Amino acid sequence: MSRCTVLVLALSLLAPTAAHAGVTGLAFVHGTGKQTNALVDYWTADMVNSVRQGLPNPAIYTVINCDFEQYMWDPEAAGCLAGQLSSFISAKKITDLVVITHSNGGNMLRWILSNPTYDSRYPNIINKIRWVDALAPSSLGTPLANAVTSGTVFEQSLGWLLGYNSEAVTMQQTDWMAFYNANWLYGTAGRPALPREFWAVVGTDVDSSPLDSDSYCGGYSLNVGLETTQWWLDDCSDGFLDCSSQGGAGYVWFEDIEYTAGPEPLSHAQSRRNCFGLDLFLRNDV
Amino acid sequence: MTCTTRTCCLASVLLLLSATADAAPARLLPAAAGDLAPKDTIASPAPSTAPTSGPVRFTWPIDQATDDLTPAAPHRAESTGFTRTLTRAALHRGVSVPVSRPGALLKLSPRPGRTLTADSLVVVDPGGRVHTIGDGLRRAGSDAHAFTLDPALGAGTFVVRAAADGDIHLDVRERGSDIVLAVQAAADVVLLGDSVRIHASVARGAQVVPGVRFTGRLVDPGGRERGALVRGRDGDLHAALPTRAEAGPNGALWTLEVTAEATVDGLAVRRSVTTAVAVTVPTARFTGAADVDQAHGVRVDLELDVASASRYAVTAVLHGTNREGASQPIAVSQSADDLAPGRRRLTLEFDAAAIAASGMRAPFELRDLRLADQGRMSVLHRQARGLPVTAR
Repeated sequence: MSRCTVLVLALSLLAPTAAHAGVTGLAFVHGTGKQTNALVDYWTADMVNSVRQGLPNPAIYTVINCDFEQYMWDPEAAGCLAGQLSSFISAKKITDLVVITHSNGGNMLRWILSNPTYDSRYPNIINKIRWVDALAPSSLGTPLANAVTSGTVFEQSLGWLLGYNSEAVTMQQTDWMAFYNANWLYGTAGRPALPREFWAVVGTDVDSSPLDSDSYCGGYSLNVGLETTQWWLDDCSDGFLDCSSQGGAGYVWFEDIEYTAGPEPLSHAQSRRNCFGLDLFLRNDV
Repeated sequence: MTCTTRTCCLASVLLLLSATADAAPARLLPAAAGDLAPKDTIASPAPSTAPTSGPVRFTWPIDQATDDLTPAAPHRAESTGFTRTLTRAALHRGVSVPVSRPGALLKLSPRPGRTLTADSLVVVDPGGRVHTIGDGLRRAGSDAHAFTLDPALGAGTFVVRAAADGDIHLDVRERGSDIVLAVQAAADVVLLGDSVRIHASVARGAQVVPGVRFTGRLVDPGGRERGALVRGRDGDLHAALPTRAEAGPNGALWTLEVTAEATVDGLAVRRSVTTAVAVTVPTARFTGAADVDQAHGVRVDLELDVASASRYAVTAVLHGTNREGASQPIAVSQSADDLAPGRRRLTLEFDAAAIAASGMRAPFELRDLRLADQGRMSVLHRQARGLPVTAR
């Protein structure tokens, strides 16, 4: 029999976004870097285990491990992400998926949401997503990526973000992201909305005083490194991204100090960790 | 949903035939200023690398005003600092560094595998006094090769000397300076063989700085220089694109590097910045022919002239008419399929239920009509106003 291929008109109006009936799942999507154990190396078990307590069944979660050193459309990047999300949805019979992203992980999700026809797995993923909680997403890129691409070498403590001059760093240059936002991605100013809501948490500053215990949450050396980078950034930044970039796509859910304990700002290293009550907000949201 | 049974296939064919029977021929509006609309197609030797095959369509409603959807101008890149590559010999002799704002940050980055002897670093201020770390130079954070100038040293031309065993990349950051270099490409997508044009200016506040010397170059996605930027009669900077180019990574952009040198209030000022454009081979184009079917919502078949086999995607926003008689967006539709060379079609569908739920009515219009080569990550067509869909 000849093949009669996929013809799907996926109408979001009919998707079960309002009622979270069925099986709710949670996915954690890391940022730039090639992860093989993001639970330990990127998020920490304390963060993940705290947030997933908000699920009806806390066992229904996944931590994505992909190669986000690549351009977002690469098979090893969004392709890998689509594969792991599809497997999770299928294996757990997920009908309602909340996705938590950090940094460049937000761009990976926006690639899928903006290009539903690029990969036949994308429509099913999109239809299952309730919303995306994007922690410090690099939606408009970062001047630090421009600097690294032109030859600036930052200290080793920033290696997890900028150390490899990878395709992902090249892509996150501000001028490159402006092009991708205008041509391949939705959800930024002047562009149509994404098919699912994309809620950004914005980090506004970096505390790196050795006398301040808050500087040690997320790793003191990482926060000190992010202090230097602020010379490339606006007054409002998390040490890696300007606030305008973090809030540049979708909706701003909140700026850190609106709700964090203290109130303390979330540096880019801290917005992926259970610092200052961030995990509790995420837990209550899933 | 995948159709795998004879019944499903037959139902799809009957649905297609019944829809086609109600279709009316139409033509796209002429491209307007600011649109991207190639007049011809060119076959590309670059391979198509789309990850999937077969038709996929997806439509989603949007709740936005027409004013929320504005064609974005090409990115405007701004800078209050500069970067520069210093040779080992030049750095040993001493390199002049213009600083227009007191307290600037200087950062020296050795190339990978090279070293800079931090203790060898000295800076001579405009008055001829020599400074070291802790004496006029303040270390910035924990970075061994980044320091700020004591604001008391003022502005002017400093000289930096250090011992290194290779080239050094220098960053000068004058955060908060009101002297800003801005560059903006005339278009963010340029066809291979055409010319890139960018507008560059240096301003202090609202005042344009006169007598600026601009230099720059065009760099392809592989990092190779592909020509200098030259100033045209219109005052803008131009670079001619090659008529042929080796295929770089799909989706990677070309970079325009611009440096500006000027004198402001007797002080030397230097700024540099980059911006990016996509260089496209028009592997397919809309012929302008279309068929519109309003039997069940709005269904539009768009005819393409395809020069190279690939996976192509068409996207558009359907606008309708609200109760006040104004145009308002309803939904986004995207449709992609693998297409061989020749005359082909892609179909956008906006379901009747989705249109009814929006409360909009005819006349409708397809806006923000786009065509992309997904297999080569190329933007081929962008048209703000694509196709009016009048009432039946």
